[in-house]
Amino acid sequence: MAKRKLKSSEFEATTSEKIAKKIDHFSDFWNQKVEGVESAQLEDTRARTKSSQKVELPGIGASSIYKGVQDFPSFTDASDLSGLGWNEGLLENMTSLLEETEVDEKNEQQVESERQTILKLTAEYRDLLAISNDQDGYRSIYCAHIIQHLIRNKNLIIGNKRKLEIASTKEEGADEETIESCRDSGFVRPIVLILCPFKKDAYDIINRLRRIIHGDDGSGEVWNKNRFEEEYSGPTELPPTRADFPDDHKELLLGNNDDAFRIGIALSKKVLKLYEKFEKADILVCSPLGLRMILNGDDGNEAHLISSINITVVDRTDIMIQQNWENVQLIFSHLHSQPSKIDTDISRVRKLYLDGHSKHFSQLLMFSRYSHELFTSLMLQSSQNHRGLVVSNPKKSGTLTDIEIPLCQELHKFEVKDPNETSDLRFKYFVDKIIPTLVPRTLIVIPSYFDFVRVRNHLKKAEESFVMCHEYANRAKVDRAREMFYHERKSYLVVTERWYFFNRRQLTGVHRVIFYQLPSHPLFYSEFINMSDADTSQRFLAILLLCKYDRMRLENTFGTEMAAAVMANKQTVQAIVSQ
Amino acid sequence: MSDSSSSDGEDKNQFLTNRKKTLTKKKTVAEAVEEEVEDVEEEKTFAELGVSQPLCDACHRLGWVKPSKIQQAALPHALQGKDVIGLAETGSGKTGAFAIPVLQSLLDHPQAFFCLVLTPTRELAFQIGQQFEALGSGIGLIVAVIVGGVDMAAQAMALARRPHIIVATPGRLVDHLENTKGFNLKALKFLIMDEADRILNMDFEVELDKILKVIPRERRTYLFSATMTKKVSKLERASLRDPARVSISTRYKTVDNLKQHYIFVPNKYKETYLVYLLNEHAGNSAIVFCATCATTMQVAVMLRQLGMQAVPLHGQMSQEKRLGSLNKFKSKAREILVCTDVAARGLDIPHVDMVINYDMPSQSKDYVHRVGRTARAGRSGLAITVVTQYDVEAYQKIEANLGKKLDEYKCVENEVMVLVERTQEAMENAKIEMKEMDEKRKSGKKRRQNDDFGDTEESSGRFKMGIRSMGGSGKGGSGGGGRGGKKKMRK
Repeated sequence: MAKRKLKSSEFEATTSEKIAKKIDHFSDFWNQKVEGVESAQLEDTRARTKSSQKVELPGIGASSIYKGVQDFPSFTDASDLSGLGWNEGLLENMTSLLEETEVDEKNEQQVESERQTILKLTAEYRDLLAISNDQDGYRSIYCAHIIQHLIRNKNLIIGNKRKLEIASTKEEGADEETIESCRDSGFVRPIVLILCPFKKDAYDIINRLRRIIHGDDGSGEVWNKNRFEEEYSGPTELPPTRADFPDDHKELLLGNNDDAFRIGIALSKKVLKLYEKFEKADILVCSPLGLRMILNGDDGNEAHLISSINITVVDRTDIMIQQNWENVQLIFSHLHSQPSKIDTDISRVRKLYLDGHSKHFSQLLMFSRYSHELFTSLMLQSSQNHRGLVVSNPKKSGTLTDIEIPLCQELHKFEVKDPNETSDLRFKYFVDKIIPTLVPRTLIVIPSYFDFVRVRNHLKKAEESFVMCHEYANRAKVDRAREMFYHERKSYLVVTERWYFFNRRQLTGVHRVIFYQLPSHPLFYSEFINMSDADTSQRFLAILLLCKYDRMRLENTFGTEMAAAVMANKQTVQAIVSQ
Repeated sequence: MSDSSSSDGEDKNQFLTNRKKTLTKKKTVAEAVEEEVEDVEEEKTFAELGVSQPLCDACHRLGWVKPSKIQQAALPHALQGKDVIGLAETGSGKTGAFAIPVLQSLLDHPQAFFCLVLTPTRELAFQIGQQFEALGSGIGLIVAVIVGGVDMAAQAMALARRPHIIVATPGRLVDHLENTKGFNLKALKFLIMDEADRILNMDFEVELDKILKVIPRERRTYLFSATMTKKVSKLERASLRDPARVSISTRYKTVDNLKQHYIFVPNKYKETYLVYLLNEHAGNSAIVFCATCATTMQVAVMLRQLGMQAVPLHGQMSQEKRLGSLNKFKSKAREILVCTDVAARGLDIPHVDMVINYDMPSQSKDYVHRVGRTARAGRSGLAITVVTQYDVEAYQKIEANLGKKLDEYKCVENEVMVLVERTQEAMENAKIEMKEMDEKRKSGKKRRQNDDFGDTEESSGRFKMGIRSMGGSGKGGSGGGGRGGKKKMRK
């Protein structure tokens, strides 16, 4: 009976469109058939991981490709921009943005091909976890992709509206097929979500969006521009006292560092409306904290607002892990959930949303400067896009070359079978093997706060002489701790990674350093080691606890090759001695 | 769906007399066609009645071998495209009688929002929705059940699928018509009212008017009920065109294998007699009808205080609880259902052995509906109406309408009086508990924990033994498995 001819009619439409236009990723993306079987396939993370392929992609290096519903042709040349099927004015604006950033001569080739690959994958609506330092580049690319998607979506909705209006003037009203073919929206209006750590990032992203829409000539209207400037911009120069910080920390201090914000943006014709109400916004730009607060927090219970997101971008994920990763995880658990209230024209809601397949029709882009096991695991869990997922894991050279002093690195490897037991076994190893060997003037670096609390409680119980620097201690307390450690009134100093990340202060009086776990930030290992105040005649000793699940951090710090050698070594304790 | 249980010969006679009545009284809405069910002997198959092949197959799959009487009578008219007024008891195949023609027409002209079925109660709506789904499972039918007490968003999603059939209670449907964007019934082709007389009653006046305003006048309308109003004005509201009136049973007729009794008791000892009656018939499943939600709750709590497995069902419970209570009773996990008239109509629970009218029904029609819950599908059943000194007049009216005098239920007064003390104590406790529940509800936030009386079973064991020992010698085992077991402690 009423087997609606939706599927076939849409299919015909796309084939005819294909003839007219060669490539149309937007329509192809929506017209993909995903039903029970395909949905189950996409949800089976384990099987997908098994069948993933390792490929060397130009620019972004070694990558794993997790298959979606259909296969993509093998990777072809991506330099031809016209192959994307994008609006030309938009391409022009994007290109001029890309040309703006200065690129070293020697890196030019590399950056160029990286951008091309990212652009191609993004435009194909594939999920992507990219490791890249080229923030300007990838930002411009995803902003252009978002605008392209929005414009296509707008045109579709407007076109359908007209179609329905014409149909309803007919005598018998719109027929079944017309109504069914005009399903083009989600439960709510927002279809793009951009997560970024600070207001300064939002400032940069929104300015890029504006320039892609309006071009460089400054024409085009922006609503609430002054308020936006006021609230989102910040200092562009550092006070000179901070000049000796490493570059990445200087960058962190610059600009507006507010990490609790959310702003809705709507696009209508050529007007960019900032501070639009979320119900009426197309793009949501939020910090994880800012968004979390309206999901089930102090500011509301509005999880339905992210039930119909088409494109999710997580920008600067490496900073988010230093903020609060739980917020990011919470957001992803709410993403694409079925809404608790519906305030839209239900006859226009796409079938796939009613079937709960929203997560299969959503692109997820994640960008970070270095890889991390949590990023990969979040990607693998959340990426259920029918177009598949690409995780880049380029070869790293490591940061050991930054170490300026002669040292002996002792790597202690402990056995773990079940990843859930890692933290228990690490603690056990630390208590059994490391604590008995502690000497005064030792710095203990504990990346995770949870591990830190555990170790602190143990040390307290054992009545060891120690002081601590962690992110919840106030400045005076930290200063006192450092002083007591410096004057050797206390033997050990325990610090967390997050404290160091947001303070980056030189610690003094360190004669030995113990890494409870490798910091996730690749620079920190060498920075902590360089703090050594020990006699230069002696070799400085750095002790590091390792297990097989630390591989990614090890690659970041030690470089891919050396990490492989360390992991392959069967010995429990390895020593690496430098000249 | 069970087969019609009335016997043919008598049916015919009753029908003829009834027909005369209706003919004289009828001031004609339109020229209603009277259906002749005279030659019932020659029963036709579904196919012979004009039902198309896919639907015949569906019927066979559901185990409907032959069309039931109401189907025999209604289908030819309905399939010809006429409006139908159908009078038949529930359990006689009524749903099939209107679902088949709707589906047949839908097969010819597939369309979303094709048919709207209005029912007075939520339980009935689910029941009808299930039957539509069962009939339409082979042909890709989409059905949405829209009733109160369920999440609006989930229902909006069901409507977004553009279902062919909507089964709804009027209140919630109006809510969606007013608040859910993109939902309208402008293309509706069929309107069906089940238990039509109740829908056409004053209770649903406002809602029905709103619904009628937004659906096309160009449509087919079926009214079905076990009892039908005579009032022309009411029927006019349904704006039938040239309806065929079919009837397979007479008004106020009750089934033969139903034993009906009354019991005359002093108002003071009303509860005691109820407990006595339930205790006498322990082990059987029984429905106790009360007049108000409050009484329902009170009686249910009291019975539980006495260690009986009673579940309440009334309009002030949330939908979840209502379904929960009903399912417990249906699945025989509980023996006693204490309810208001919300459960009087349409519910098809074959295993009910006894109906007690704890409060007198307000209309004689309701009496027929209530006692119709038992003696279903050829089983026998017992109905006892509790009559106090204040109810005599109302009772006499009912007797007059039924056209026969009922026998008094015999009981030994001494045995009843033994129970007085315990019952009254339980009643006091029940009142206190009700008060507590009320206060907790008012005190707000912790509401969710405390108002779920429907699930919490708190029965004090101390009454249990006493009651059982008095419950007549041979019936000691009646309490059987798990009676009064403490499943959950409150707090």
